[in-house]
Amino acid sequence: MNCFEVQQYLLDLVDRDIPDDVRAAMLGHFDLCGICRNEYELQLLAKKIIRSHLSRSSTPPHVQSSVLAALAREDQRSSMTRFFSSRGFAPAVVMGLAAVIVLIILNFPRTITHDDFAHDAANDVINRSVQNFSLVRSGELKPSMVACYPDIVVGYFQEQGLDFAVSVPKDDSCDWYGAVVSSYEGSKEAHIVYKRGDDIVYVLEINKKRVQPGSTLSLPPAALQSLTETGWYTDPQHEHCNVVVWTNDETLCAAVSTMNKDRLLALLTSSR
Amino acid sequence: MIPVVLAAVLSRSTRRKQEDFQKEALPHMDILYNYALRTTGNVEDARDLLQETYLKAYRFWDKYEKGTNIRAWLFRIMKNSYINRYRKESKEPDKVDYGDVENFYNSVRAEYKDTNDLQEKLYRNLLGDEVANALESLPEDFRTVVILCDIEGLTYEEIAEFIDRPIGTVRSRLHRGRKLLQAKLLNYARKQGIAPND
Repeated sequence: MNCFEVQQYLLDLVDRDIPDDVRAAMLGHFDLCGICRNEYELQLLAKKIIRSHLSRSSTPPHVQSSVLAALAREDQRSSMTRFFSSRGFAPAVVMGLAAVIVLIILNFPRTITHDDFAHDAANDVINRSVQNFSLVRSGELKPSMVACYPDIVVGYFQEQGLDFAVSVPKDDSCDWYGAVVSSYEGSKEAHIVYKRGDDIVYVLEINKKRVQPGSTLSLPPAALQSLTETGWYTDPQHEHCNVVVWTNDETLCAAVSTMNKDRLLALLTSSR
Repeated sequence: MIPVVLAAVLSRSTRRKQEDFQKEALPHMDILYNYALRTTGNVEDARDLLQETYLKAYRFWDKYEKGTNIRAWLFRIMKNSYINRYRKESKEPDKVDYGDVENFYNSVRAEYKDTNDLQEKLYRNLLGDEVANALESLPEDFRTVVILCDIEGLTYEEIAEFIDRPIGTVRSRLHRGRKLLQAKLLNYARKQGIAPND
């Protein structure tokens, strides 16, 4: 092999598999030609330095979340665009939606009726969860974003500046996940809706500190005791729905659903 | 009081699009992120570039031909986004000055008597940041093929598809890119007293 032929195959020797006879011929040439040998060694050295110093890294979780959240917002934006540009859309629809918004704002929090729940305090987390569940079922409380994957929902919440972590466990039976953030007494709250066939599971997630004595929200003493002892509480006082409350690090979660209590508990415990 | 936001109606086609995108495009986030990181030099800019790339890919998902090389398609979007970003910021990516490269190339060829000795010294004393800075300072055309080959481990054929150039161009850029990188590292090593001056 001469220098010209060696130069042609030089990179192949560094980066690719080449036939043994070509390899042997090149190595033989290097014994005779210092310039070609140096050329080969420099290429090899550069590759080794890069590989040894610059390893391939995984995308950091916060970058991943940021991308997923941006995609979720894009979905939301494009859905809204399609909706507002549809042929059936008319000013009357805008008026109707505005009226619904005003009604919801005026009516929230709604008057608590004894049929819905038996807790007395208006700032009781369970009361508010059950009330929100009713609003979800009636269509008055609607998610601001809907996604098929929990990661996208988590990404959405991470963009909302909450002072607690929201967990949205993956549920293979879930058709879609809905999410919205609201403020109550100056603190942000996360609302998650799981649509599972005919069932709806609503979960309110808040910072656990907000139910401490003297804070803006409350829980019945029995619930506080059970959460302290076991981390879980199932509320016995509802005929038309089931309520499960649990804590997850600094987050307090309250789930409400018409699902059978055992199924609901199985879902919540298995997905944690 | 809950500020109720209008519901985003998730149509069936939107859902299918989400599923397809999740399945086909998102698994390639790491390779795109690594390229963005090595190109921009910091996590924040890499995140912005990655986000912009995925948003554009999602918006133009109907333009992607199923069965073709999704990684190459995403990569080209990222590269164009990077170039456009520089234009927007009234900066331009490094122009490749082949004359400079050739000078480096020739000087390196003339200077190296025994690369094994240099190899030992460079290996032992260089830090990751120094190598990263040297790589980042390469002209974009060279940097791209070096990253794709030596960090991502792509084949020449894949790189050719990524950058939409013939394999001969890939070889040439890789060869010169590595030489230029080494010349930069050698200069650095000399300044630090790691490598001799002659």
